[in-house]
Amino acid sequence: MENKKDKKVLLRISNLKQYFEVKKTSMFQKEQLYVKANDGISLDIYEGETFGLVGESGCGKSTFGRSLLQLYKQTDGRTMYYGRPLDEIAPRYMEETLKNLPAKMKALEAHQAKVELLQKEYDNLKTDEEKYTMHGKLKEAKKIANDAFLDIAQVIGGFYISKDLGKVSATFLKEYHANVALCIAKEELRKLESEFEAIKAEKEEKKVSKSEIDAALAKNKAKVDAAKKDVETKQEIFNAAKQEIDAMKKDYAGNAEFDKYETYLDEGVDLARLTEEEIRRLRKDLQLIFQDPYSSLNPRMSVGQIIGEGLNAHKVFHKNKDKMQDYIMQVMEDCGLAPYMVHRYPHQFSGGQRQRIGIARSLALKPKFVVCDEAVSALDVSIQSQIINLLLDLKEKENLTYLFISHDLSVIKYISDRIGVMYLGNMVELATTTDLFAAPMHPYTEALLSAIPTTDVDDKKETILIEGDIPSPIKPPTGCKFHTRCQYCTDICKKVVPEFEEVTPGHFVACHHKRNVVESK
Amino acid sequence: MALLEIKDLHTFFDTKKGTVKAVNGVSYSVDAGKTLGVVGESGSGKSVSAMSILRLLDNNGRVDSGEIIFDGKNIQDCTKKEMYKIRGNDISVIFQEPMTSLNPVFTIERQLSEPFIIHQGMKKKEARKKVVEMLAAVKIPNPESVAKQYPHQLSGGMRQRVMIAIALACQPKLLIADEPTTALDVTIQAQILKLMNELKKEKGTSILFITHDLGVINEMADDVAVMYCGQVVEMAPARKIFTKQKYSHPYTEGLMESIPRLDTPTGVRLEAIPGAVPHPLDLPKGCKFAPRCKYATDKCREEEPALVKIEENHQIRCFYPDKEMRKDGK
Repeated sequence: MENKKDKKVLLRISNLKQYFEVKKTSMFQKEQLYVKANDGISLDIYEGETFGLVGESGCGKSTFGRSLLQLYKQTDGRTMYYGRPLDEIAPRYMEETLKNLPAKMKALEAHQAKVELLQKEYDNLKTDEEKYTMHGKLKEAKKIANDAFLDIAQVIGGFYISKDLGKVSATFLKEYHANVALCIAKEELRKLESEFEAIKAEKEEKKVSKSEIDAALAKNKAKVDAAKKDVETKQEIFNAAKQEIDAMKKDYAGNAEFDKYETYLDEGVDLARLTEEEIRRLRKDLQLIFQDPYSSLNPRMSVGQIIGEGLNAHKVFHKNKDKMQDYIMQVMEDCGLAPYMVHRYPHQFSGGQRQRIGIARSLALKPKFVVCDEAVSALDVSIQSQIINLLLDLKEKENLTYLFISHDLSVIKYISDRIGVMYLGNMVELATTTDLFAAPMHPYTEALLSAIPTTDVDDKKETILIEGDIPSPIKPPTGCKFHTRCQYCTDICKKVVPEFEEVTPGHFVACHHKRNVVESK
Repeated sequence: MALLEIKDLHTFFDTKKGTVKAVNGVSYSVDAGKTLGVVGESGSGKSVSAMSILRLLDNNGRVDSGEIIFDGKNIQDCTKKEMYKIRGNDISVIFQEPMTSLNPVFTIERQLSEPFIIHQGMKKKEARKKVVEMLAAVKIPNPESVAKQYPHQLSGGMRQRVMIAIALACQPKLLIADEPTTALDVTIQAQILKLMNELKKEKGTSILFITHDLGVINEMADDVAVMYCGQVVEMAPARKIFTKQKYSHPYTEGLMESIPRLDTPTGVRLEAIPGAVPHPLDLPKGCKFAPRCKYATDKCREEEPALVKIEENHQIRCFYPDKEMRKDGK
């Protein structure tokens, strides 16, 4: 796809792993077993698109959605989020990297040396069998080295080649601390301003005289002004720190190597490494719509409270109740709920309306990215289409990005721009909706597509049946995980894990025999 | 000749808040060796109408009026003992949830041999042989070892196969399948549907197939009954329901348009049916579908239409069955 480069990446997930520990069956069991719910998933999600995720139950699609939002702490991998400028978040892990820069550099060198050693050993191996066992080790070592490298390069960019790491570390730290101070000052100002507005609105409502209002506000006004000044001074310090870095860059002007590493600078925030408080602040941007509208709403809270909970938690309308109430009404109207419903409780609603409440709750915070986890699966057919239409309308209006998880291929096809097919914790195929349905390349996708019952009476297509059930994710099959049920399976499938590679532009497949699948059509 | 015929069936539930008319005048019939698909949203009375046949209703439910004629005999007159003989022998059921419909404390063998011992008077040893045969018939790999296992050791698809084996044990004349594949994944669903179709062909069993999935109905059914609010609103051969016809009920039309299909172009809005199914205690006067129907007139809101035969094999409960006339607003 050519236009892919124009689109802005919102989330870049690389090698996401989510393992759950399995309880040991006896005290003598030595080996700790894991349910490998997600086993190394990499993909980009672009801003404004709907990414559909399909697969059978137990393939890890819901886990993936939740790990993305860090509702489960992901075991391994990077989840870079580009929805906000890095300066606004100023994550703690950056400080940590900057502080220990020399030590980290040393560790990186050790990793790289190890990779080189392994690579030499690998090149000297003769039989394929040996090579294969070695390959896994080599890959793992490369991955660790690469991660360590990215940790550093993403933060300091071109200064990676600098000899005087101590100075780089000190300068960057200075900038970082200035930035953090600025963020805090800004937040304080926002809070005071909002408080100021609230007091003003309250007094005006009580119809007290103008002089009284002014008296009450004078104190707050002084506070706001002080905060404003504070922000200004902090901003200056921050700018000065930035200029210092720019000055350092001048030494490297025209240095090709410096420019090469400078491109590694990353404006994204790695969600997986944020502290709990940091991710909590980001939750505003990252929301979830649940499958079951019955159990996902608190039965003891009224609709207004449910929708307002997030607004309160994030102090969007700081102490300004009237404004918040108006806003809740606005959100309810957008989601097709009547204003009189605001004081009702969840049990008074039908399934479709409850799902609307769930949608209103997640959209109230004006998120950028929403995970819809089987959002329409529990609804009746006639209600399902209402909710799908609503989701599409809201997406258009708010420029949302969806990760739409469903097992229903017809719905996925209708709603998604791109589709990822998952099997047993891995992504097996990823393509645009048209490509995927026109020319599926993975045998599993092919079978999945043919298994959907259609309402077309003249449909004569042969259903490709996959025999058997999904294997256990605790002990997944070796090699290609699908080989136990695959009709094209050969020896290589049983031994070698297929790479997830781009076959045609934008069309990724993990299969040894993908071309066979196309040819057999 | 019809194997099962339900005539003007009314099944009511007495609740604290009043009588819920779950099934309100339903008539349909299943021909020998054919499959009737009953489709409708939740609460439309599709399961209740089928459970009324076997008297498997909750304690507060009762068949108020109507006839259920099975194999030329009104089984409403049967005593409890006679019903025992019919259940599992002449008519058997496959339930939706394969997890809860098998008894977790008994082995598959024990549960599957039950119908042989009860209905055919077999000894345990004989029954055991039959069990393995049945498990093989529903294509379970290594039936001998599966027979010794407990339900929790099997996957959802396997459990549903066991349920089918139990249901088919005594070669019933009628099989009631109540959403048998709803809880299963598509690939497993395809396996089960294929199996049911094969067994139907082989043994000539009639099937009453209940589901909310129109795609599944299309794969399985010969005839289709569309239900809404405890009534059949349209009944026709599957072909007529799924192809463009001159006549159809507005609800069927809406359902067909509202499901996203594989050939629905993206970007085109789905035609959603507005509103929701009315509460069973607060049904509208006149046509039950009128509040959600885009063609509804004053007549629809006042009078209730009857299920009328429009053409051969095609019944519709609507004052304006003709699609063209409806659109012109007549």
